[in-house]
Amino acid sequence: MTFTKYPNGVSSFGLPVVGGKHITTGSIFFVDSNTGSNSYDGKDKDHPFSTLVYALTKCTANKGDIIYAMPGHVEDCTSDGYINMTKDGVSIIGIGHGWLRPRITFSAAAASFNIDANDILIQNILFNQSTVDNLTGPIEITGDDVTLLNCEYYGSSNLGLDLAGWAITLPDTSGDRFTLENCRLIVANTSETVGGLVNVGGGEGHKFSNSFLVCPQRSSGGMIHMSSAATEQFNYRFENLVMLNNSSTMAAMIDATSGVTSVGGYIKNVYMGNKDTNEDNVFGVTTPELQTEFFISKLYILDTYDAGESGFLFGSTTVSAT
Amino acid sequence: MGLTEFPNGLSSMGSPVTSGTYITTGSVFFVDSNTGLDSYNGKDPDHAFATIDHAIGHCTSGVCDTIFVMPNHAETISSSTGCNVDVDGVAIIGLGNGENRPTLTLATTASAKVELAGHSVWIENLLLKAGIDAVAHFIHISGDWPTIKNVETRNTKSMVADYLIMSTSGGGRGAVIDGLKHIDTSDHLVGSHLTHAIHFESPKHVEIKNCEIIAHCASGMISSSSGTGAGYNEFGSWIHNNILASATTDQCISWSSDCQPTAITDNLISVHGGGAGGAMGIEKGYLFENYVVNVAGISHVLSPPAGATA
Repeated sequence: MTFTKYPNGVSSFGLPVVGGKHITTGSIFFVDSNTGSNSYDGKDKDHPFSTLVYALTKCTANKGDIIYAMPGHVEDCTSDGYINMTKDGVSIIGIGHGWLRPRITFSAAAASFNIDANDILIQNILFNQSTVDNLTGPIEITGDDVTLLNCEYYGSSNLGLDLAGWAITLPDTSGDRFTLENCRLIVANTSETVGGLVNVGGGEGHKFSNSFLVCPQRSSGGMIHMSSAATEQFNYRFENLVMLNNSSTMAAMIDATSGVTSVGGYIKNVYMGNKDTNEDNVFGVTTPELQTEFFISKLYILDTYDAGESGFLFGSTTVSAT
Repeated sequence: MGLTEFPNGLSSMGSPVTSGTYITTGSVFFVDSNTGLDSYNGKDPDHAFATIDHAIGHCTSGVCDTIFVMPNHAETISSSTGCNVDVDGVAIIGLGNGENRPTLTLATTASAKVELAGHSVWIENLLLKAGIDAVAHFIHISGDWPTIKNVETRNTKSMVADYLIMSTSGGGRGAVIDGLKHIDTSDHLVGSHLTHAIHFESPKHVEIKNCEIIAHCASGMISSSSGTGAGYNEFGSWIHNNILASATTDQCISWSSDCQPTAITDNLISVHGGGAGGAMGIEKGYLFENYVVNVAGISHVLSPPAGATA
């Protein structure tokens, strides 16, 4: 005896019913590179599309459409903007766990997954560098109100590749209110050099929260780097983060191009650890001018990983002698 | 007007619809030792399989099939392969609370265990009990990217186990242990009941969080060691928000230098005597807001001190 099947879907009170907690009045599509075909209609898990690129063409903007990417789906970005989300209000939600989370890979240095549209949710997706060294900017976001939720950027399979640019780039043309929530970014192992994790070139009101960020060998600049062409960036929020780096030459965990000032916003409950540098460079006191109407609460910093000390409150009188 | 019933389950757009927030596009099976038979198809609670191992045998690799284990399910694991989760992506989720949770009892031989051999497997809300005094592992991890969530382990009164959870070299990359609970069922001040609670060889990007462990460990309660393949990949683990109480002076968190850097944050640690500084043996780790106490009657204090020099 099997399920009572409703292959075209069931609606209750006019809302499509699927498992999970997502609710929408829009269309729902499925994608699976293993079993799918772009000749299917993508409307049930037994007839999924084979690519996100194609599924995105079937979405309608501003209707709350959802694309469910199935376990084990893998889609390789081979060029700049290979996947480009241009329709507002679309969600891509991965199904699965561990290495079976839907995986977006990058197999050319300039390859990228771009989000140009507004109001986008990307959830439970694993980004992976594949086999190519020195990616220049694999995830580029210019839309407003884009959220990466429960996602992971996990360098290459053994983390043995360099990353020339930043894992996530918000260019000068970036929109506002980007959110990184409950994500894990580990971009390379401790023998590889990387550009950084997030390069913020523009936009206001971004939030980075509840995430684990490891950038083993950032050689200069910041793990989260504010490079805005504007002289002021507004209301950035950093909350509940663990940020680890192993480079003695990195300028700071969060830094800004000289002359850029962050106005408003806050840092709350953030742990920053970097070895063999001085405590000023862990957070950055002089170069990043994060002080205008910007409050800091429970920012802990640590400049050694030799475990003889705990991180101390930024601004406290207790500082390391190292 | 009552609910419209779909006694065989409902699928919408091919996805099984279950209550709760869980979503899968894989197959769903049910297991119940009280009402099930392995001759059933396991596709609804009224036709559940009798054993988890049989249900695993019906799962397809790589599609994240889900096995719901019914309340009051009881199963005895009597060999090292008695419960081998060897199909990639399988999730085994227990239903029920307290003693009604599905219970797996390790018995007959010290090698009886739950083996997580597949990659990206998930086990949740299970109660594991020792049925004999000598248990090598409650859970052994040999695959990558496993998740162990809200699992409780219970010892016998005189159990001497090696590990609650152990990963050997080549397994456990990306492991998440969330909410493991082990409260020693006997006087944990008398005799060692565990070698380690959680031990990884060459851990890679492991997260251990929200665990509550009260036990008598002969060595590090949460520990790691170098193993085959140790090197640059052994970094980026995070041990946080755990409550650890040991009846010995041995370290509650002992982490190898080959596993650097690791973040160790927001843990509450009690050790029985000895120096508070011995509560953690971290060779290469970033420590934030870990509080330790080593004698009764005083509050936990930040350890090691902030800003001290190594």
